[in-house]
Amino acid sequence: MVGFVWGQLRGRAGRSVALLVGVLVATTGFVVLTGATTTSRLAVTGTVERNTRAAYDILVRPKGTRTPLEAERGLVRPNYLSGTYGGITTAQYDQVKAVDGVDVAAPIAMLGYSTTSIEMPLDVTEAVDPALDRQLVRIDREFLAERGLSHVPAQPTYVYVTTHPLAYPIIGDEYYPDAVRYTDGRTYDTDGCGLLPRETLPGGRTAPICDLQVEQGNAMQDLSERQLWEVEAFRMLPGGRFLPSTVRSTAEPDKPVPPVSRLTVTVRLTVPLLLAAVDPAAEQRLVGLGDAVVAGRPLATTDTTVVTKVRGGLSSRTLPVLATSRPFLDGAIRATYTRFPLNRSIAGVPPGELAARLRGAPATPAGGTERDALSAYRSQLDAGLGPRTCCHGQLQIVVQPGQAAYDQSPDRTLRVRPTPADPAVYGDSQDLVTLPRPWLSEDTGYRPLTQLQLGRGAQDARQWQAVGLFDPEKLTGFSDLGRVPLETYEPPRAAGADDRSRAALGGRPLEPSGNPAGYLSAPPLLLTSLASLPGLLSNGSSPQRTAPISAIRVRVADVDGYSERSAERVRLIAERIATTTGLDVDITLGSSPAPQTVDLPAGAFGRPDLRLTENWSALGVASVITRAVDRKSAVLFALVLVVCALFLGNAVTAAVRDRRAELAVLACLGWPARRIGALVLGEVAALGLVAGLLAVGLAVPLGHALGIGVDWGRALLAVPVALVLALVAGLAPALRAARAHPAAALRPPVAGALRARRTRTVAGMAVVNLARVPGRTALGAAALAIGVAALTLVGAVSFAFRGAVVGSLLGDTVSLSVRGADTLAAVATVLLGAAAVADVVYLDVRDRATELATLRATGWTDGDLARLIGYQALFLGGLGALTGAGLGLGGAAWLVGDLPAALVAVAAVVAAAGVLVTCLTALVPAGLLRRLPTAQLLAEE
Amino acid sequence: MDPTTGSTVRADDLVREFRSGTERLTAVDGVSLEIASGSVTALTGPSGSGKSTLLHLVGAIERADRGSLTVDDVEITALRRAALARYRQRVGFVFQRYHLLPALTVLDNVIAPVLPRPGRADHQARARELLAAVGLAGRERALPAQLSGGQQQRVAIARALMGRPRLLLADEPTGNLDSTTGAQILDLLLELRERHGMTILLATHERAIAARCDRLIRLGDGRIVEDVDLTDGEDAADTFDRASRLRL
Repeated sequence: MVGFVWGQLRGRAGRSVALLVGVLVATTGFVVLTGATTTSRLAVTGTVERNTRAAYDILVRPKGTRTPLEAERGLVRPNYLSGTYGGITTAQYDQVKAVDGVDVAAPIAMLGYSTTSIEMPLDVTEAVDPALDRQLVRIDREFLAERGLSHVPAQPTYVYVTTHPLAYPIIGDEYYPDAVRYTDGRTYDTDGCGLLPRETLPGGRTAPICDLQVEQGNAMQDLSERQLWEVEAFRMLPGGRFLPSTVRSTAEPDKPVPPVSRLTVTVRLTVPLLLAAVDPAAEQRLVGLGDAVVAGRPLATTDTTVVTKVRGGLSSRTLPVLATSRPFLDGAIRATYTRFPLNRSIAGVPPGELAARLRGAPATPAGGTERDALSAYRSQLDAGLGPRTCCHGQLQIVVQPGQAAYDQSPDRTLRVRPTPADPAVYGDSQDLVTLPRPWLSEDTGYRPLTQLQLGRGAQDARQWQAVGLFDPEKLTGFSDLGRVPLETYEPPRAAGADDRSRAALGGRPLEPSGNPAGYLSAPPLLLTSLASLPGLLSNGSSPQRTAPISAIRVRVADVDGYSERSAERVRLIAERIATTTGLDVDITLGSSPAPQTVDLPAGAFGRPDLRLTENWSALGVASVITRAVDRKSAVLFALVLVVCALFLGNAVTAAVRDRRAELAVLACLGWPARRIGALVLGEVAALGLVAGLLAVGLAVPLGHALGIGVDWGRALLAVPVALVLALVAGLAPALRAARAHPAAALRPPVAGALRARRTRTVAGMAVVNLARVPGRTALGAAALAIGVAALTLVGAVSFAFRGAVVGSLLGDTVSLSVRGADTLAAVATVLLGAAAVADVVYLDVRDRATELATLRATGWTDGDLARLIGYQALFLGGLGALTGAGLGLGGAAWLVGDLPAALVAVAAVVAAAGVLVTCLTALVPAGLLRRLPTAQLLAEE
Repeated sequence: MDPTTGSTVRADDLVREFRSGTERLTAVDGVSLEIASGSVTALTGPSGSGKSTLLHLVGAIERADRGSLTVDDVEITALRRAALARYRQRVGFVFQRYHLLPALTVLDNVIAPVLPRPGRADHQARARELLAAVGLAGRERALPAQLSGGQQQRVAIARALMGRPRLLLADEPTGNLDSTTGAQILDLLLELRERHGMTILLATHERAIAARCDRLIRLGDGRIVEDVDLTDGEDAADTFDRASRLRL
């Protein structure tokens, strides 16, 4: 039997090889593609309770950003951006942008807190006694924050008022501190006290009115702003007017300084502002940032750090920023004035001795005032944008707060863990520190602080300068319902959760205090362009140089409000982003405020323990990446086998028909039916076995070349797959062979016609020929139809629905997204279908060779015959392709409940491609026409 | 129907060989002959003597390996494939097994040779005319399987005449028919020859058929072993008697 089978295969070597190649291609393709069946899937759980939509639908963060607490509770904490400094590369950002279905991808690179100084003018005119010859007004400052709950006294600062003449320094672009000319015509050494006014003492001697400015200025990195103090000197003129102490310029040494009627001194508050970099164009599309600009100009994508070289080799880098018009400052300074009449000048008194000299001296309370930081900031804004007005700040030290840590109580209340403060983070002697530390930096911290690693040294001055102001309230893109703390620019507020806390807060919510390590963290208040970052970071060692982006907020196209369809679409896009980039992805569509009770331990400056209700964001759905079998892909891959089975079935049927005489002889010789059937099956099985073994060797390298993981274990699957495929395809022909009657040998290979058809054209003759073998025609067309239907669906998803389609099937929301392996499988199915059609044409040429020879003998040219075969391929391909395209179109339309023009266009293109490929493959059998042995065929019959 | 003049066929040392494995078979071995315009020539000889191969060479469905073959002074052996196809359009061919296309009607079978060319209405009219001429008027819509053998051969003859041939080649045209029907078919061929003046070359092994031809060429092992002019001053009865003596 084995020898018989081998003899048969060898006797029809060409045909055997063709069938072997068919099984080999299908089996190898199937085994390799199944390596891509298992895929990353973003599984979502939970349902959405509120119909909300934020400005964005997906939040992409660096891998591992999601904290265990967030994962456990399905929440995103407020100010989720705090503590995430970079981690996403611009290449990953480009990958996210390139994902089909992403409408807007807005990156944000958190940089940390810069500080700026808010000036608070204090009018101390009323504290001055115009009758006194000399007097000192002491200003006792108290810093307040957190609704006044945190407060701490600062070093007093002084105003010295004298009726005696003062001499002022005159300086130009260059001066020598040891020889500075004064307005009294003399030259003094200012090394000791700096450029301060001098008062004439009895005897004509002059002495400087010293304070600590010079000494403190050299040690700014060690000082909190509450340690800073100064003595500011004024000359009181007759009539109660005052002459401020102003350094005169050498250009106009005699220019008179106009006297003022009010005596105003300035105290300062160091305020941290959170700096972030964005893509202005993306931000405009996401929240309308450009439209929210209320002064100056919007930030441009092309804005970069401006580097200027100044004298002495010092370079100055200025970062263009868009500053907030609402800084969310909850801070104030309370000032109390005390007047000390003096019977002699304080000129020449060392600063350290001043407080001691005043101790025990007669003092008169002289009023006071309280200035809040917010009003002061607004006053600065009113002065207009400019390098000498508003708004600018230092970038020598940028502080990055980390994430707050919690302990969980049994009642699920979160208790914030205090973190030890680290003053060193505000710089050391190697840094060019220009502002003192915020006073709150000494308060209890709840976030670990680190320093953004920028270039160090006195040769590198950095600052930011506002090019415009934006009003966060004017940002659009989200509804009130969707206004959850996930919004980038929303200030976090926490209300008291119990009566005691509410009473302590005065019924108002707690807001960010101004402590970078404070629990409530401010939103980004200074925005620069991503393009500015290289200029800022280049000299430093921050990892943000290579991966600057902290988060990407993604809005998905074609999502309008919350619905199951929208959610599934968002899930698909999120899944693609996750699998493409490997980043943490959270679906924010449908997220809503989720109040969490938080215990905030007491602060060092008087704020008591507070129990707060803080609005975290509950994700609409919890998402987790899992490995799952892509059922759609599995079906597509199986279709490869189905089409191959049709192809093979047709071929084996033809082979059995060819051998009907031989099989009839075997039947006459007494072979039992089952043995004849086994003979046919044996031949097919032998082909399957050989094809399977060859596929084992091919699958691993092919999978490697395509980037699909195929191990030897999976490759071995090719043997049973090929065997089963061959047996399934050969079963029906084998049964037919077994049942064959010896007289079957007498029947012609191709039947005539049961009824006459008019055939007046070559095309008509082609139709008649196809109709003569309806089973074969149907199998070929079905094979192609399956391929075209699959490719139509894949094409529709890829092109008409931008890579993902979401629809409803039998009441369930389902989605299809296309991967490379799917497209590969669909294309392979079409090619196998086309090969099946070509095989039908080949069989037709072979079976009707005598008829074709007759036509040639009667004068048909090779071209005429080729046209006839071409028409057959065209009609057969057209039948299969149109049926397939119709099925694919119907399936996609059923899924999405609509029939958009793009879908029809895709179906038309795929159908046309199917017909074209079929016609091209039919060229092979058409080529056989030239070798048709006309005379032999006509003589044989 | 248009009166035509038959083709003149000249063969000079014509050779056609076939290979079967290592064996070489010379089917036509140096045949030289000339067939006059309008004549009816019978090729006779035993099976394998080269009758059909010679017909195939003249009909250009097979190429000679050597020698010259001219039809109306056109050297057939030198023609390329396309020119050969055009040549075949001017030659009628009738086969022993008819070789009708089973899926086509009688009318469409007759039209088949000219189907790829324009002029559909003319084709139909001519096909109907030819079918009437071969006695099959009214059977245009029948399928070949619905006709008798003689009728099928008439259809084949009508098909062969569709291209207005000047040369009609018939390979055992009565071989599958009984003697009466065979005689009728020959009558038809001779009548058509009279009407159109075409040259007819037919292969047969039937004495009765050969005897009615103008000339008889007997082949043996691919060579001409006898060439007899049957019209040489003899009447029909003599012809028959002589034919009966012929060793076919």
